[in-house]
Amino acid sequence: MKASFINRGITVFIVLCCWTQLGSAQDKENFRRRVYQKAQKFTEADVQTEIEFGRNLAARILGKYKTVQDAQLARYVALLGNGLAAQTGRPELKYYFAVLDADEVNAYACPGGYIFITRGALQRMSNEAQLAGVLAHEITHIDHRHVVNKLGIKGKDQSLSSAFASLISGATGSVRVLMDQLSDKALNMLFEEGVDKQDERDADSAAIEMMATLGYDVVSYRNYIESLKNLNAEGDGKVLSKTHPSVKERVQYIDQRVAELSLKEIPGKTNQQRFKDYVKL
Amino acid sequence: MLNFKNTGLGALLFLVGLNVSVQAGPQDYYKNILVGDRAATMGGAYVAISDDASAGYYNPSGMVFAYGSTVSGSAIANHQTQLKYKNVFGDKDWDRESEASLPNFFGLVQKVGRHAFGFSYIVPESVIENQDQIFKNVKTPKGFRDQYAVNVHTEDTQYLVGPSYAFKVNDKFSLGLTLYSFIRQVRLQQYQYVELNSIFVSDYYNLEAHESGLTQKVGVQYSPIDQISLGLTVTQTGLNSSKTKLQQVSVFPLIINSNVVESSQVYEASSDEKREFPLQISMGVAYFHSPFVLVAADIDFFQQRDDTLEDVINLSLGTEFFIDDTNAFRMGLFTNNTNQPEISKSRTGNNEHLDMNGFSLGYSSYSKTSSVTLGLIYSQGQGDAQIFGDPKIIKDFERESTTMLLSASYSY
Repeated sequence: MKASFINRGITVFIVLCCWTQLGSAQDKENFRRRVYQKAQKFTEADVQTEIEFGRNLAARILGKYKTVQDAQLARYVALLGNGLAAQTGRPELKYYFAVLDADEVNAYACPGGYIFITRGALQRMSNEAQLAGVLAHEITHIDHRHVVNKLGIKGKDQSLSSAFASLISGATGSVRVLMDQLSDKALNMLFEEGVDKQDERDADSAAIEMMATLGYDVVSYRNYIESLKNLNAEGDGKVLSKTHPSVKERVQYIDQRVAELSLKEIPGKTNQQRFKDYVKL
Repeated sequence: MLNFKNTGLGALLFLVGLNVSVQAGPQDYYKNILVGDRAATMGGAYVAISDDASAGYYNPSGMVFAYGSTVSGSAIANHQTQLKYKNVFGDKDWDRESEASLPNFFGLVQKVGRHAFGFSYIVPESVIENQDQIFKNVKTPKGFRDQYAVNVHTEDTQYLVGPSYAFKVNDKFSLGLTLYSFIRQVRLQQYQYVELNSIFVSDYYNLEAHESGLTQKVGVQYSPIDQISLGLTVTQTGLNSSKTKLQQVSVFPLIINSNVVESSQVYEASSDEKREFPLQISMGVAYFHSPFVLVAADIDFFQQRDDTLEDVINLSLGTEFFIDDTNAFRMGLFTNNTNQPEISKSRTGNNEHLDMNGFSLGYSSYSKTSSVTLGLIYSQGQGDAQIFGDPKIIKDFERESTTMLLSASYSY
């Protein structure tokens, strides 16, 4: 009798497993998060750890790639980027921008305010609005702590309960070892896996809002993203296609957001001539 | 010819026949000590949750859902058990107590992409009993009085230690496996002394047992819709080594030609027989109502492979609620049923039969990366015991078990 009861229970379980899903297919894991895990309280220690981590990661990227030796270009990108960040970035961070001498079409945002864009990406742009869109996208990854949250980068908890917990649980202060491991994971995330699709959508959405706020033409950014659909055919899209959703998905989402925010009717500047004056690649 | 009944020696042997070795051992139950911090204070209802350092024990497939990339946890438990056998020595009860304080859980989980690796050390059972009692003026059925002394020392501890692995198939489905090394060490030493009308009987009994083997646990978790998680595990333990040694020395009087002559008997035995463990199937469901409230229920089924034991079903129900983002309370209810058959007066060698019910309470304080938990787990039950050689003599007995735990978890 007990056995038949259990057999029925197993059958019910298997049927449930085969049940067609209801509800959203997004973020299934997040419903597990308890309130203390969702609470986004970032302390000064968290910010310092984020900056140190990002600086370390940026150093590793610069060890992998050289920067374009063009002081004017570097200054132009930095000024544009800091101008965007000054309006929409996190006040506790200082943002740094650099152009990597790489054929790949991509841009990278390291925690703590370190942003890179490749020569390959700049070569495919035709105006400043497109550059502003890409930089705004990367600034959003930092502002919204996408990499920080995905890797769980936190500052050392100085509370008494944390000290007690580390004593009982046997946790040691091997932060350096941990940070090295997370740095490897972050590099893999930037160059291989990418962040979550939802985070990419979040970054595109915030980018077009930033652009609109600062008077840039959002359609230029949308057209730039669409132009990337030929990348795989040209052989330049290897990293981009691995780390981002498909071009078609991104364009569809951007069009949806532009329509929702009624931005298509708002004219924006492209500063094409200024872009051409400084970006001579 | 000696007439035991007339001389009262029958009463002596009656008393000395008290068989401590058949008392309810840890192997009669499957939920004596709850493990983990969150799980233990939720009545052990954790198969569908299992997303922390105790995942290897409850359901390894849940490791992939742990918060943070590296999670560790441990617990220190003080476990006490009281047994009361009613009216054993005339109108006197026989009380037995055991207490063990030990770290009973340590676990570590490391997530790497879709994979998760874990390691855990579990002490799911530990009994340490020291009993030294002298009963005087004991009323026997024949009305004789004198004294009876009993000294018992019992240690019975089980260990599980080993790795776990889990793979996230997709956001809804995960698989996991745990391989534990199983070790059990038992030592039972019992000395009984009965004095009646200047005649005495004594008995010394020493049993040592060591078992080792492998415990395999396979688990899955599935989330058919948001906020619901289903869990299923199958666990099997197999022994690869079992050694039991028994020594017994009895000193008793013989009456020859009206003279009382002291006689002794020495008995030794050993066995390599490996006992059969049941197949354990556990199913659970968890409802994540909100980031503040969680409810879970488990059913554990133990299908015996030993014909002398009964199949067991245990139920657990637990809830967790956060009053704010740093303080949480948990409660749980659970059953801890015995695998021993009902006592029958027509069968000799009955073991105790008692089913237990329990509850758990816990409080956790959270910081960003860690938590500390205080917990109390209590269970009790009433049943029957045949503690003498005569199966017609069945005694009522009660059992209470209390565990207090202090645990912590850390996540990066």
